[in-house]
Amino acid sequence: MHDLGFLDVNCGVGPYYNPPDGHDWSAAGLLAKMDELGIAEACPSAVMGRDYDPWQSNLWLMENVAPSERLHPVWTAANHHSGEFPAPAELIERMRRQGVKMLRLYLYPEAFVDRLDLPIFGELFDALAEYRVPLLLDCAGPAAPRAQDLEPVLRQWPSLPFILSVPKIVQHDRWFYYLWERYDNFQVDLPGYQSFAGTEAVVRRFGSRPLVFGSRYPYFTPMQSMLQLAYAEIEESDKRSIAGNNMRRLLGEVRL
Amino acid sequence: MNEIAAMALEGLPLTDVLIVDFHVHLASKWNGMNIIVDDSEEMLRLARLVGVDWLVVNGCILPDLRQANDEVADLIRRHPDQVIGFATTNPYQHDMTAEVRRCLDELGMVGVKLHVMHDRYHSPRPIASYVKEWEALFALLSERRAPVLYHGVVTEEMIRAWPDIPFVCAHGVGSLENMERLAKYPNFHVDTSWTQSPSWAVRAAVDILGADRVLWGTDAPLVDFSQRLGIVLDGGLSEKEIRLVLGLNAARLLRLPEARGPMGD
Repeated sequence: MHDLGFLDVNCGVGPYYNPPDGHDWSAAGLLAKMDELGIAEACPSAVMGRDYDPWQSNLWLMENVAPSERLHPVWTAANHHSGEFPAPAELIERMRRQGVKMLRLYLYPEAFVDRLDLPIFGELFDALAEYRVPLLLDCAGPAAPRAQDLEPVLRQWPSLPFILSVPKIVQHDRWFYYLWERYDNFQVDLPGYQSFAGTEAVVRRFGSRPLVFGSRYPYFTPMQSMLQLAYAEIEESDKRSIAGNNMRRLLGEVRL
Repeated sequence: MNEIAAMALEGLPLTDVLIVDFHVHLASKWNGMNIIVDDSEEMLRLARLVGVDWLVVNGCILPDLRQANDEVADLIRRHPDQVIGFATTNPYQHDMTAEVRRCLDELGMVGVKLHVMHDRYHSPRPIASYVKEWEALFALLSERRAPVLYHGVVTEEMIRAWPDIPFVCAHGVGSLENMERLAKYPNFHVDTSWTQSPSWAVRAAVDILGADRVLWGTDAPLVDFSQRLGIVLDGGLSEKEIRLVLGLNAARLLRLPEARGPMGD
């Protein structure tokens, strides 16, 4: 198998309300899928962080997914004002102790956080920017931010890498180009970026920097994004960057 | 992992498996989308890179459907070994039966694509109310046993009333519940062009309808061939099921020569 050094920036494990028959959503199941498809490393979070409780999901994750050379646990983020989630300083300290280098913020209508509400996230973003902690914005539908929501964030926190993940982008992507032209800290992951020949178009114009490999596993099969990259008419070095090296660089720059 | 998937991960064209993309549009601007490849020749070249043998192309996204059908016919003439044409029609623009008959008899097409988008924005009256026109069209298609790829438009009553027409519902008919409801009609099929495809969706469709009523479709040039291959190749199917979904089912409906053989009989 052609080894591009895949690092899956967007995957999940753990209990879920209605898992499909025959699917193993444990850490062992994730590792088995990675072995089957040839994925070197992954950044799993706990899927219960979206619909149940972010902090409980992080506690579950640390009991079930120890940081290792292949698995880099990702905590689910939330704001702290209601007392349900640690304040930024405490969060950073806990992340440092537990070896966690990345956060995921679910933005869904039915999730713990339903929009990128800047006033309530300012303190958290200040802290993440100080330590260059990448933030995966996992969102869909009306909760998904657009350029008017993201531009102030990208401008105010240029050292905070934002990775946008939406489950379906089929050509309504013109505003991405606007942001990519202006902000180096804006990335999009592959599984939702299904635009026909879109990978090639982005790399031709901006290089490989704007894209990172993710799968949305276990909801999507990683094969979707892997084949998107395998068949893309771009240089091998660009494939490797998107497959994993862009994300390795971002994780390597974390100062925790 | 099956051998087909292993080959795909190498980025190689899948030459030892028959692949028919049942859901392809002329490469054209549409619906405000940023269509990066708006040249059908380029789309066909990209299909060959993946190993897609046949593309079932329709022109339903163009505003003038008769002109769209002519453009599909041109593409068939230029690529008779790669392109299969589906006529597109709606009752607002022309006599549907006459236009489809022209496409089948004069332009070398073998089926029809119907799209609910034709029922939006300033329609003179609801598309479903053109009962006599639909009846006449389906009588022709039934006589020819010509397949219909549809997105909306077709109702359960139509599927039941025309058992000799193979109906293929684009985008997996929207939900597994709809699929279960319509599974009792042997002429009901789905394509795999879900835009948000859970990893278990193709397996579920095969469990509900059987492996012989699920057809691979991509919606190109809106969505990459490669992405849509992934949901089949890692969809929990056996190699035999994968071959049926990727091409043999379409070959059977379209009566392609490749449909004959040990697995396509």
